[in-house]
Amino acid sequence: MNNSRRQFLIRIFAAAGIAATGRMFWVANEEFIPELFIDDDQSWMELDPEDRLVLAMITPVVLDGVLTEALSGQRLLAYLKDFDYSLSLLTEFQIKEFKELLSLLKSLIGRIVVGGIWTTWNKASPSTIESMLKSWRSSYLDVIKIAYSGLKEISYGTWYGNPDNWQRLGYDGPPVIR
Amino acid sequence: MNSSIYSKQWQVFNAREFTKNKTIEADVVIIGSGAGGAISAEVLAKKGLKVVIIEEGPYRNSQHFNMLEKEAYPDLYQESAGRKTKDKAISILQGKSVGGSTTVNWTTSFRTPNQTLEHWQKQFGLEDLAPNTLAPWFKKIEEQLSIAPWSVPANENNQILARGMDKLGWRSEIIPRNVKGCANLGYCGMGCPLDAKQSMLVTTIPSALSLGATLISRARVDKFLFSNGKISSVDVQPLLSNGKVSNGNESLDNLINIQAKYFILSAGAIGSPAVLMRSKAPDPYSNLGKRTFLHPVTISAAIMADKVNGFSGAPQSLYSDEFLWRDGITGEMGYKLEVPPMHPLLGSLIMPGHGKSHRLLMEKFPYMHSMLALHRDGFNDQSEGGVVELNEFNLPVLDYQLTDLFWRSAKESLLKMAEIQFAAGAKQVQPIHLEASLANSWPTAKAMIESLPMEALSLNVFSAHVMGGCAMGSNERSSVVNTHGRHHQISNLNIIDGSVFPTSLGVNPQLSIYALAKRNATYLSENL
Repeated sequence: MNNSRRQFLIRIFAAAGIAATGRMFWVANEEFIPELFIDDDQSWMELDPEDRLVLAMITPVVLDGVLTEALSGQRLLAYLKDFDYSLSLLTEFQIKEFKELLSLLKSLIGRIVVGGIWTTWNKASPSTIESMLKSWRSSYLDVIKIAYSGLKEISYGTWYGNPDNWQRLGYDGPPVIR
Repeated sequence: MNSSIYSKQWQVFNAREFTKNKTIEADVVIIGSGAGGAISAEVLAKKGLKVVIIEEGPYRNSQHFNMLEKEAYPDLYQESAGRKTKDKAISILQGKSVGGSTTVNWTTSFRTPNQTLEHWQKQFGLEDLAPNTLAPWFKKIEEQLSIAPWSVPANENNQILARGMDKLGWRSEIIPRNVKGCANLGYCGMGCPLDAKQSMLVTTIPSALSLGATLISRARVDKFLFSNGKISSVDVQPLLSNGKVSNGNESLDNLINIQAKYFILSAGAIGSPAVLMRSKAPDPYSNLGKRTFLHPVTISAAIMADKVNGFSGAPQSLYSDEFLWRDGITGEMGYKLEVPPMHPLLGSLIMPGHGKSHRLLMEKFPYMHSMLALHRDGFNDQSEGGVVELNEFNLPVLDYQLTDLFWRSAKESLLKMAEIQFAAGAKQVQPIHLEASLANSWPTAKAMIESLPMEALSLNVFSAHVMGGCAMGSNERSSVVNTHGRHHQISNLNIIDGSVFPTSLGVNPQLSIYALAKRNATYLSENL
C-alpha cells in the first residue's frame, strides 16, 4: 500500500475516533481481526487492506444467515481469503472492473453517493449496508445493477463453492468414485 | 479412469515448457481443440499430415476431474464460468480446456433441425447442406461417439418437465447423449471422472495424438502472420497456470511461432473472430464477428414437495420442442425446453436476491427443480444477434443486444415453465428474474410474471451455446467462409467450428459442429 493511501486510511479511522496503528483496526461488531489489515501480507493476491475492510463489512450482509452465528472473526478472515483467491482466478478485465467498484466504494464520494453510507465503513451498520444492497438491486442505473450482481456472484460463488458450507443445504457433495 | 486412452508416447506440451522464443513446423495448425478442432485433427492426422493443435486452456482429464465446482469453473471454463456479454446482461458458460466445451457439456446431442437447414438453404444459399446430404455425416458421428437416446430412467429433475408437459397435453421426448458406460452421476459439467462422456478429450484427441499429432495447451494464439495474401505462420503466447501472461511473480513474454502450409481456426464463435481481428485479417465486407448468436436462456426454478436432488443423475435426458417452432420458422422466436442440473455454486448464482430470502431458497436445495427455455435467435430480421469486439486486453467481448422479439419470447417462456412446474406438482415457483418472488400458485405466478419488466439486467439471461460470427455462405459479400469452411479471402485458412453457422441452431450445438467438421475436414483432406 502506498503512502498516500495509508494516510487516507489513517485519516478515515482517525475521524471515526478509532485507534489506527496502520496495521490493526477494529471491525465488524467490535471484533478484532488484525490479520485482515497486515498490508505486507503476501498471501493476499488481489485485495488490499482497504478492500478487505469494505468486503468484511458488506459480505456478511450479502450472506446474512448462512451460519447460525454471525460470520465474523476467523471464519470471516478465512472467507475473505477465499474471496481474494476467487477474484484472482478471474480475467484481468474482470478483476479490473471489480477493483473499480471497490475503489469507488473506498472513496468518500462513492461511499456516500453509491453506497448511501454516511459513516466510515467500519462504522456502517448491517441495516445500512442492507439498504445499500436493496437500492442497488432495484437501481435504474445499469452500472449499479451490474455492481450488485458482480458482488453477489463472487460472494456466493466463494461461499457455496466451499464444501464446508454445504451442510445447511442438505447436500452431501459429489459421490465417491472408487 | 480408463488409462488405455492416455499414452506417455503422445506429443503433449504445456506451452510454458518453451521458455524462449521457439519455431515449430507443421503441415496443418489447428487452433482450438473443441468440437471443430478435434474432429478436424483426427481426420487430417489419419491422412498422414503433421498436425499441431493449439489450445488456450489446460490439458485436463479424468485424473483431475473431482466434481468440485470451485475447481472446475476456473480451470475448465472461459473467464471462470463468469463470461458475460458486454452489457453484462447475459452470462455465458463456455468451455476452455483441451476438448473445449465438449469436456464440460451435459452430453445432449441433437442433429441440426430440418427447419434450420431449410431456412439456411432459402436464406443463405446453403443448398449443399440439405438434411439428406448431412444425414450420413450425422450418422458417422453418432456411431463414433456412441450417441443414442438415454435408455436409463430420467432423474426426477427431468421427469418433472415430462410430467408437467404430459398433464397439460404437451409432448416431451428422450434426449440422445454421447456416453458409453455412463454411471448416471450428474457431474458432466465438471468433466467426466469416468471417461464415460464421449467428448473430444477421450475420442478424437487421443486418436489424433496416437497418429502423431502434437498438442500444445495453455497456448493462446496471438495472431496470424501473412505473406503474399496467405497465412505463413501463427504467433502463440504461452500462458501461466492462471490462464494469464503474468501472475504478479512471473511473466511470460516469449512467443512460439508455428509455420505451416495450412491453418484451421476452431476457436469457437467468440474466439475465432477475435483471432482474425487481432491478425487484422481481410474483411472487405465487414462480416467478421457479426451475427454471433447465443441461445439466450431463461430459467424458472420450483420448490417441489419431495426431494429432487437435481445434482444427481444424467443432467439432461428429457426435452420438449412443443414451443420451438410455435410461430413458424421466421415468426415469433421459439424456445426449446430442457432442464439444467442443480449444483450448489451455480445454483446460488442463479437464485435472485441476497441475504435471508436467498438463504431460504438455498436451504430448499434438494427440493429444487429448474427448467430452462433455450430461445432460437437469428431467424427473424429483428434478431441480428451480437457483435464480437476486442477489449483493452485484446481479448474478445460480445456485444449482444436483446430485442423485443426476445423479450416477448422470454415472458412467454417464464409463463409456460411456471404453468408446467405447477402442473407437475410444484409447491412454489421462482422465476429467475431480479424482481420476482416465490409464487405459491399458478394464478399468482401468472399475475407476477405478466407484471415483471422484461429488460436487460432485470431478467437473468444465460447461455451455454455460442454460434456464428464467421458465417458460411455462398455469397462472399454476406459471409466469411464458403460451405466447406474455406475463408473467402485467405486461401490457406478453413474455419471449422460453431462460428460458421449463419443463425443459431435451435438445439444444443455439439452434434451439428461435429458433423459439419467431419464433412469439411474430410473435404479439406481430400483437396489439400
